Amino acid sequence: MQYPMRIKVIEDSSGFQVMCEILHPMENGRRRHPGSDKIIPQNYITQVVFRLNEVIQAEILLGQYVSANPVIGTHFSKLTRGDTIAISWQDIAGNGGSASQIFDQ
Amino acid sequence: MSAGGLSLLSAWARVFASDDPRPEFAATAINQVLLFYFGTSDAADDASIDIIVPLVSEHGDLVPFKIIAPGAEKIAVVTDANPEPLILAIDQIRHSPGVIVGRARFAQSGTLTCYVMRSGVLGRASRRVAVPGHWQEQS
Repeated sequence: MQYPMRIKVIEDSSGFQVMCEILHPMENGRRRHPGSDKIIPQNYITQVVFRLNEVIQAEILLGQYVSANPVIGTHFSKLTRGDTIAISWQDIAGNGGSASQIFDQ
Repeated sequence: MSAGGLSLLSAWARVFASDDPRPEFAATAINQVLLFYFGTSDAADDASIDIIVPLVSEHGDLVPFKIIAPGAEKIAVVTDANPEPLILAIDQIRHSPGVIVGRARFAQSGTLTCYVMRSGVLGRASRRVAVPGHWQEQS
């Protein structure tokens, strides 16, 4: 299943905040279908990896208590024009995705 | 076997009964999370850790937070508001300050606590978050 994602880079006083938003339901296996008693199966993102020019910058492990459509971000102290920021993720159901962006600010 | 060993063994037994295969995420007590993720549960209050989180969140399904921890190598964000405390954890941090931004689910009002490992020392900082329907009494 495809879950769209996007990357956003925000400059701040100490560097850059690199954020990603993944449109993922983050089902924790405790909700029921409205109108029926069936439990919606667990399906949440377990890992998000931030890379800069193919080098891992941060590995974030997620659990079932992260909100739906998660916005996850971390800090990069330095980015130069032409750097490639890549973010990949995988969920507990075996789905995964990635997106990349060339820094051009 | 020591008391610590027994406690870890019983934690493992509970972990195997859980859905999440990762022991730190299946653990039901903050001490167990720390033992599984950092290898120690000895933490001291650390004023250099900055937690930005609303005092009252509009909805328990969406509690935004930002954590800034200078020199952090590993960060774990936990809460006592959920049955399994660990919300998320960050590893392999290559930039300082270590920053993590996210949005958490809170089952009820509780404390958001951030544990930060730097140079083998575990520090901690906390903020209380109230969610609707679970107002706290005034002290």
